[in-house]
Amino acid sequence: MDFIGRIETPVGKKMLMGITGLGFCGFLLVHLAGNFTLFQGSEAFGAYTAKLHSLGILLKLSEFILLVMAALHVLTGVVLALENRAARPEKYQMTARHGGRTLASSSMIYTGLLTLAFITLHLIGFKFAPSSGPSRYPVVVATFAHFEYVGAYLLGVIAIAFHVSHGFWSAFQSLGANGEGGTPFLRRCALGLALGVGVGFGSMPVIFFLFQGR
Amino acid sequence: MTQSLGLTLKIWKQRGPDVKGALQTYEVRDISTEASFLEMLDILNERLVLNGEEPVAFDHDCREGICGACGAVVNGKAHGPLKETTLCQLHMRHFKDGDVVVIEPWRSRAFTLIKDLMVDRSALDAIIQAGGYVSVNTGGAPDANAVAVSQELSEKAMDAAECIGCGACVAACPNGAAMLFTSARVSHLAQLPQGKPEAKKRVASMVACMSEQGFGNCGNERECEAACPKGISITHIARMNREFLKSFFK
Repeated sequence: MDFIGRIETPVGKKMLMGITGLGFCGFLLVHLAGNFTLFQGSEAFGAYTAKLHSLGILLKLSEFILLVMAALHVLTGVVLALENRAARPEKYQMTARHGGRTLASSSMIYTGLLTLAFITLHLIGFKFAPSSGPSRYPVVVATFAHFEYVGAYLLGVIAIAFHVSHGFWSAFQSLGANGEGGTPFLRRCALGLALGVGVGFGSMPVIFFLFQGR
Repeated sequence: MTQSLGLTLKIWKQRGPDVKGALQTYEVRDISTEASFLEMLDILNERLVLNGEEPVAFDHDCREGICGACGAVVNGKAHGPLKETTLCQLHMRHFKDGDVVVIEPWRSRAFTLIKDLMVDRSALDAIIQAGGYVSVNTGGAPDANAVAVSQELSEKAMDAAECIGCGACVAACPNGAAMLFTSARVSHLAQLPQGKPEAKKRVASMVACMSEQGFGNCGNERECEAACPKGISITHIARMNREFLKSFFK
């Protein structure tokens, strides 16, 4: 079996999901840390974005890697979901949970697609928004002044938090990095990360809506 | 204390792999609470035969919970409601008088339905066969402790070897994956010195075979370990994934 053949096996595809997923978890943390400068006001956020853009080619390279990771993660995820559906052509008349399944684990494809939709809108709204000067701070203030945008953002953030709460520990398991009896610990870590990401990113639209960035 | 109960059974009836099946309702009465689930089906079948009706086909063999032949999905749960218990070891005292019990076969693309509750699980045999051979020294009886295996390792290998190959993990998996079964096989040998020379080849070809049989992909939903009558843990899946990763490097 060659390298591509190995990646195409159920184990290989899950490893691909795990590696790219963990990459996104890292990105979420960096993105969150950077965004916290929003709470320090326009100047701090402007300084942060200026520093980020001064990376030049490194930033472009990172963005390209993120794009490739997104393409792999989304395509593999959709393929997995379709294959899994096909693996049981005749459904059960009655289903019950045996005790392992959670809301997050059973809805990965849906929270995943919701996240994709959210990120697309997010990139259109912020990254590719017409430039309003050197800082994007006014765009943040203007966007989160609208109730419907705040609602949409919270929905997107909740989807990401659910996705992470299963995906983070699941990635370790898929990559074989879950030792004997390590599952409860990893699941707690995933829950912690999901809460951090959910509350952290969720606080931004809410606080900007309530206090308009003041 | 022996008591008896009556149940409404809704059993999947299907004459063969290529015809449509449906749930058929049967009423059973005076079932002893000391009867096993399969004995309850025996009683039903006896009555059906006496009445000139077609009995319900189901797989069974040892009825001691160690052979892996029996198994059906009872009220949505593989091997029924009791943890770490095969269907043959499930007793009727775990049901209440008047219960409605839905009984269905294992459902997976890789398991062709033979009749009623019987499915062809040879896809699991194919995965074992793909594992190939294990190198052992031949000749005279080996010296005691010539191949050192610690108590801890042998216990861990035994945890994996406990798999009876019933297929409940596949039946319970929301994705119809055979990862717990395959990983139990891989993890058993991966922890022992015997068969080490073939370790990389073995895991790669077993995973490839699993993929070819038409099983789904693991979603790490842990339904398999919750349904497993032998309580096999998903830690074996993690070990198989590790072994598979190792097989990338020659």
